[in-house]
Amino acid sequence: MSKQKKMTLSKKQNLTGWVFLLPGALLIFIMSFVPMFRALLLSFKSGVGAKMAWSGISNYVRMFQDTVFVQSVKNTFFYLIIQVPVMLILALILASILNNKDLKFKGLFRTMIFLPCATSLVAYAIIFRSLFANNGLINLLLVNLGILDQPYAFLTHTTSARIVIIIALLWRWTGYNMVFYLSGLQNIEYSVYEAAKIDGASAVQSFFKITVPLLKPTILLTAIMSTNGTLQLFDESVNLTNGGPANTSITMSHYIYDMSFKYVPNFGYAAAMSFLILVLVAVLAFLQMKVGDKRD
Amino acid sequence: MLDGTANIVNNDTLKIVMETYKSLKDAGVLTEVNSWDEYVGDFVSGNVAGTINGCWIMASIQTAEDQKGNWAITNMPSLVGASGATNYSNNGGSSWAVTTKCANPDLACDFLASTFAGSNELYDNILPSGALATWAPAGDSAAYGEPSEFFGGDAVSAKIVDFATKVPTNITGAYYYEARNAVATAITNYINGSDLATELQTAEQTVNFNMGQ
Repeated sequence: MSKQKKMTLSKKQNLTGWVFLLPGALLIFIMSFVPMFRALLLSFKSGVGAKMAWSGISNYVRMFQDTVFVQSVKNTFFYLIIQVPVMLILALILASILNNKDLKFKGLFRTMIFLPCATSLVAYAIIFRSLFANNGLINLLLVNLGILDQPYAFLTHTTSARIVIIIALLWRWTGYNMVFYLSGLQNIEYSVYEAAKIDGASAVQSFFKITVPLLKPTILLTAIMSTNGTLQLFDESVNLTNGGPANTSITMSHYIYDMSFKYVPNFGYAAAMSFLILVLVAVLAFLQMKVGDKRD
Repeated sequence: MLDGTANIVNNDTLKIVMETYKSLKDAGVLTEVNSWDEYVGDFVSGNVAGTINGCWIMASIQTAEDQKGNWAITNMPSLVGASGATNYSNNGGSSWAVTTKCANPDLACDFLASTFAGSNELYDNILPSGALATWAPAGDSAAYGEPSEFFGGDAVSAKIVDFATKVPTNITGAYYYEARNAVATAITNYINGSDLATELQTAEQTVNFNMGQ
């Protein structure tokens, strides 16, 4: 009783705040952090199905000897290195075009470019698969226009299968990143551009000297998010190409799924591979922050 | 193989299978598709003359009402040059098992023996929903002898049960999907011009790697 009387108003308010935070924090802890910790423990075990035994770091050694997993790492980095820069540059260009005050039907264009983000990952992957099928729309167009003599099997050739995945990803995610840039551009005074125009700066110059430097924090954010998303790529690999031809388009997450639910399950090994993705994401995000963020 | 080891590199039958598959594909006899909907679409739209598959594909074939009477079922061509090759094969299916943890194994065995392994009535009842038996006596019933209009008035159900009795047995093992994916990778690479022996070597290594956990 005497203790409570000593409490100041701010202390009381702080306590109330913590009480409100507690349920959410507890749920996140139980639903997210506990499973993550359990998965870490699991990654040091090995065995078939539920029969697991401690095996030290054998799972982590094993994944570097696993040719299919190494192939999946290479594939994922192929997507990352090509798709992320192309997508971010495209998004940046689109955002600057749509930020123009004199442009008509801006809302319509914005909606159209953002709309792909509202589609389900599985649905759009299946649509791209049928578009690029042997008797799909793309082949139909190419043959009828006389560009090809007979349909090209896009999804049974390594390079074209990977390109189709990249095109699909660009279609799905460019608008999403563009919205971040558009909102970032709202914070840049339009008068800055007008001043530059009066000083004789061209559109290209003001893009590189004003837009890009001032948007740097947003670019950093989207780069980290896209890297994270690409390293965890799953739906496109499963639904669009099914990892084929001959595992040359399979992603890390797809292989982890196969290892857990399609093959004789080895959850310890699958958990270890998942932690490699976590490490890769963390390292790449750290590097990007070091390179991109010059604020002290 | 029977002892649970992978039999890929020294498997002469598999080599003939892969060579035959490649020559059929190169000659344009087989058409290659990327997905299940493309596969079904190809025979429903009449792009292909036939398909080799388990009897469960009949349901998809019969969705093409306009092709009624044009389809027929026959046994498959045997693999030339492979020893012990027959005109019969199997793809898919399921099994019934009584586990060691079962509280009353005798009752469970008796139940299975008097239903799935002994009741023509049961099989006649589930036939209209598409469940075809491979239990040989089921094929003798009147329901199985019913002619199918779609397949040109042939008694297809009885025919398939008869085929099923001639299918040689094989052991797939627990690592069936690992082996299947590894061999599929090898076939794809072989079709695209890779050396057959090297691809089989890689496939066996992959399967052995997956089994050695």
